[in-house]
Amino acid sequence: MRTNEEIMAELVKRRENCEKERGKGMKKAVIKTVSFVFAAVIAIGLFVVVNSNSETFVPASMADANIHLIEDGLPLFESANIICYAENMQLDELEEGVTVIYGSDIDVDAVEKQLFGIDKKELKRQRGKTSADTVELLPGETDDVVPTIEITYILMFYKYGDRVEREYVSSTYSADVDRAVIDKFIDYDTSDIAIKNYTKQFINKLVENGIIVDTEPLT
Amino acid sequence: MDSGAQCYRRYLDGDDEAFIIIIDEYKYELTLYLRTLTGDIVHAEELMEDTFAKLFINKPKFAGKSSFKTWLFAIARNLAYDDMRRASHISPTPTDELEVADEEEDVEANCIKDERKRALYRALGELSLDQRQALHLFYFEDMSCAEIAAVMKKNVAQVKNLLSRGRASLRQKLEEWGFSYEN
Repeated sequence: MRTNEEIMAELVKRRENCEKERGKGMKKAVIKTVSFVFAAVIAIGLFVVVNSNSETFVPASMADANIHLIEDGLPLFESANIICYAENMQLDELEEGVTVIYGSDIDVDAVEKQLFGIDKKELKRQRGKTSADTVELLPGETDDVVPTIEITYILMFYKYGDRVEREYVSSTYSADVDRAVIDKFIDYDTSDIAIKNYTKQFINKLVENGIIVDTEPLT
Repeated sequence: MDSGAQCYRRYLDGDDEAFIIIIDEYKYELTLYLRTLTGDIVHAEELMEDTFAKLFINKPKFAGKSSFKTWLFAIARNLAYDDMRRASHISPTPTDELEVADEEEDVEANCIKDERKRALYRALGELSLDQRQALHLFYFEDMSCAEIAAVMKKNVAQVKNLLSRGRASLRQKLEEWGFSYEN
């Protein structure tokens, strides 16, 4: 076995390499984030165009929906927002192997596929229910009835790539309500404060249920 | 606050020398525990260094909910499981058997002074992974059931069950090897 000094020298070397890599990683993360947001905006834009013939509408604010990924307490995509959550919420105390995803249904699908290679069939099987971040008719409604709009965000909790918990945060609006009112609610749902609160509640619930064991409840 | 926790606090405050004390205090125990998990001393040593590297580089916060040792062992266990999962489809790298045997004796001799305990340690290798871990932490690290539960992410009842079943299997194994024991 190596001596203490040899081990220490190895650790110092690793730390220096890690600091160098971190610098490079920041650049890559920025490029990744920009590409991802750009792709998401185009995808949502296309979605709006495809659905523009119907009576319904997709709120423009959805294009601003962000993906929030935190793994081992460290943000995967280093955007200013996520770092802010990690600092405020002490997410760096999360036990290792933990991933939390926050985002709209469509965005989370894309990230799950990217991160864990889960295909759509598997997603449907695992999720057990569907939800939409677009306009949805409630049961019993017909096209003649004023439609409602249900916007669903998802919080997913992973441990070593296995999904162990999920939570839906939904808001339902009547489509005949003033558009400005809906936009206001949507803006809140995608705001930093709302996301922070959802994530905090979600994580605390997992801590209470013993699913996360190495983490203090977030305050 | 135990000495490990104090040294780690000093390290977080910028004193790298304090980390050498942590390495010195835990490296053999950690390697022996990881050897119990992986069955391979060379691999166990790599994981031991990875565990220290995780603390040294990422500087995770120690909340003090358990002893520093329990926390450190839980981190090591997580790393080992993560590694085993990743490596499950990779063939192990061949190592020099003589060198490995020397390493194993070196670690065992540093941690286990009693010959009977060494026989016990070797017999643990015949048990299931969970039983092996529970018995190792109980007999060789003197951890309580609650501490073992924290390291293994199980509840105390499960740990007691593992200890009970593990002891029964171990007794049978030691009898086969010609050891007698007192109840």
